[in-house]
Amino acid sequence: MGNYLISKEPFDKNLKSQICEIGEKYGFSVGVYTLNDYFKSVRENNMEQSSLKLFSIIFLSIIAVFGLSSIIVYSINTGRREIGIRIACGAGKKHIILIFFTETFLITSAAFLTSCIIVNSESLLDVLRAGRLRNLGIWVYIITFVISLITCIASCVFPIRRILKLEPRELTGGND
Amino acid sequence: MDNVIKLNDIVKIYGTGQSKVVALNNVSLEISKGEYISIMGPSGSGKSTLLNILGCMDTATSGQYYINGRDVSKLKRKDFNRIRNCEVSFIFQNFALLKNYSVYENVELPLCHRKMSHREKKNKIMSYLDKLGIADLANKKPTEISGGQQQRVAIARALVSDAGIILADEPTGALDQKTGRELMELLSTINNEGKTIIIVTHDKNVASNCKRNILLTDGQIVEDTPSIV
Repeated sequence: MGNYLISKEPFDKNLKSQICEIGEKYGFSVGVYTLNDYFKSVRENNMEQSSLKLFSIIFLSIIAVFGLSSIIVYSINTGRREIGIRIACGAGKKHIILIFFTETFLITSAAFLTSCIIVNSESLLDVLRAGRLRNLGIWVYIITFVISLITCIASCVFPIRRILKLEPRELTGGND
Repeated sequence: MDNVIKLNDIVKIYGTGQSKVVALNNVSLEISKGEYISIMGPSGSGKSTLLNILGCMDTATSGQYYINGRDVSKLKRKDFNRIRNCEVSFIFQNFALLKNYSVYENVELPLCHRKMSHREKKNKIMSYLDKLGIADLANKKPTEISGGQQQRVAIARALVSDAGIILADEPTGALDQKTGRELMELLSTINNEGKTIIIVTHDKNVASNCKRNILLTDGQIVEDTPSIV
């Protein structure tokens, strides 16, 4: 840890260098700041850390949502035969869309809950005890979930539309 | 007799330009209520295409198709769903059962779109499963039962919707001879109860069970005769 000498008023240049020299003589470094300088450096440091944190969160969230969307699109494409069978039994467009939106909701919720548990795994007991989620406010969690859900639903709209445009006979063949 | 199905000059063309294939070429046909019909023909003759059009699983390129007196070409998508749910049922060669669902849930599929109470649905499904001798398999998955039993599940699903017309695409194709014979007996019984049954098959024995045989070649009906047993 560094040693700091903080003053409310600006230091004299000579005094500043003398203090540093004395510090070096006794084998430790001394940072000489005014109060304003000190707060400025702390603020800059915090902003840098926060930006890095925010960038990591956004980057990881984008990757996670892409991964989640891929799982949902894969699940729709492999479910073509099921859609065909359901249509052959009289299912309408609305029914098919409802099935896949429900599936999307469940997959997104499961992924979101898992990530919440991982994020809070270190202090899960603290979280339960305190009754609130660690570090981040509840709104951050809600917004993340809503954005993930909207992105996942948006990503499954195109394959569902493509499948529903096909004739039912094109869907009933093949294996699950 | 009342015509439940009437086809006038039905043409079905797949693809365009050089890859154009005429699957059905001016097919005209009348089918009355309670008939038991086989459609035979070599591969690529248009049998399955005809069955798909009859079951509203595909649309004709031109021509008129009337089902229970209504012109199918003038119907909306919603009406197609209703026809597939209430008026026509399919039995597929590969059974077309959902592997992740139980036998009961597979049979329940057509009833998912009906306004019925849970108890009514359950009673109806169990009565058909019982009738077909598979009530004890209700909670099993299709992968846990034999091919013959799977086809019975598919028949139960076709019957539970109370549709008047049952279309079967090679229903015995994936079954051994004995199970195939049992299945044909079952279909005869269902026909005797008043259902119209149309079967697409390669098997002459299956066709001989039917009361009317239609022979398709190159997308055209070349023979339409009563069955000679």
